[in-house]
Amino acid sequence: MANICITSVCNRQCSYCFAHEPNTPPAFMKLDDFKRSIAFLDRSFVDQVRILGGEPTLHPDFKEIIKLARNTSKKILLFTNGLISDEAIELLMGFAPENLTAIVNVTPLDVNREDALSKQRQVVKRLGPRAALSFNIYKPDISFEILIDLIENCDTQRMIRLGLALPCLDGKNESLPPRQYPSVGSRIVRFASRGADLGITLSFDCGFVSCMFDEDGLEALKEAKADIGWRCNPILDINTSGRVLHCLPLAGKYSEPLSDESDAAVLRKRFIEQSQHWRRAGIYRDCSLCDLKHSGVCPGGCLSATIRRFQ
Amino acid sequence: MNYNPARGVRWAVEEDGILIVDQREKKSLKLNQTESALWQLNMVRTPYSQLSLFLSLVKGIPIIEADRFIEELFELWRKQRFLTDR
Repeated sequence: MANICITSVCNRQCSYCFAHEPNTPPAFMKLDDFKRSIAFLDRSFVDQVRILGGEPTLHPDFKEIIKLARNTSKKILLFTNGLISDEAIELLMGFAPENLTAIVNVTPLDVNREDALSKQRQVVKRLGPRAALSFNIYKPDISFEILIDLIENCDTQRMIRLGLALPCLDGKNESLPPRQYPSVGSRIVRFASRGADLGITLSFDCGFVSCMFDEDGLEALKEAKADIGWRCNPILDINTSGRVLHCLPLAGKYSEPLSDESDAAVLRKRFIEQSQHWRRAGIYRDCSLCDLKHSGVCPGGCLSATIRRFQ
Repeated sequence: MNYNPARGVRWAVEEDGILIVDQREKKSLKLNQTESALWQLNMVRTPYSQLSLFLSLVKGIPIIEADRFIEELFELWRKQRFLTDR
């Protein structure tokens, strides 16, 4: 897996966004860099083109980028906030649902909440089965109601990508403090059980830890067929200037230029080696006593959150 | 982060001791609780050279490396007014 971030320009200002790099002005990826990124995916036997932003549809060459992605015959995953132009929607509608999924981040913000939601609803409804919903948890008092409403009324895919708002290393974004993970965990369990009754499943992104759920909660998640996992691996994000990053939250720490020989497996291994000395620790001080951490089942949460724990 | 990444040493208190990370050398060092307690006692009471020896003996790391480790830690702690004098 690897993500191509074609722009850092966005039409929202999510306080928790980690898709910004320190001291880097907003930018658009050049088409040549996008082509090189595709070649990198080919060389690395990656079967998806995962396109990220900012808001990727704002790229002036978005149409060309989608065309290039389509020519690969890989499945396209487009991560969008759903506030997109009619032209972009038309473009996406040209795909069969099995060839493209627009993962629409519908996390409600405190500003322009109703306006944004109304537009997102329209877009999601038009995309129908081409859309899957995404939700980033950046505060503990979350409500998942909007997700069920959208899925039931817009005929989207019945899978929700759930992410934790993870901290950038520079600490400039709002993130969910690890001490609040357990209270969020119990809400997730309740939502997963309710979703399961409606045929909706949850898929966890990186940074989740086992101990944010109690034993009953873990059992309930299994019963709800949630795609749970405790992950913190280099996802590999290719930024707008064509550098490969360990991941966006660690953008300033681990990155390499994308060369014509770069290979995902090699880069991933290298980033893990480079960060090994931090990986002994976890997001909590008692990760050091945890059997799941020692056995490698749980990495101890997000590496960026771990590093920020150090004085 | 109020830390100069050029320096290299950071640490975190863990449930079973102190984890010290040397960013520049990409190494980490774990002191268990006993060692941590000694370390914290020594930090304010023991001459610098003995601290290096302590670290070297306890953790089996070369004395030169221990020297540099301690030097950086001291500088860091002093900056944060954790330590007023060696």
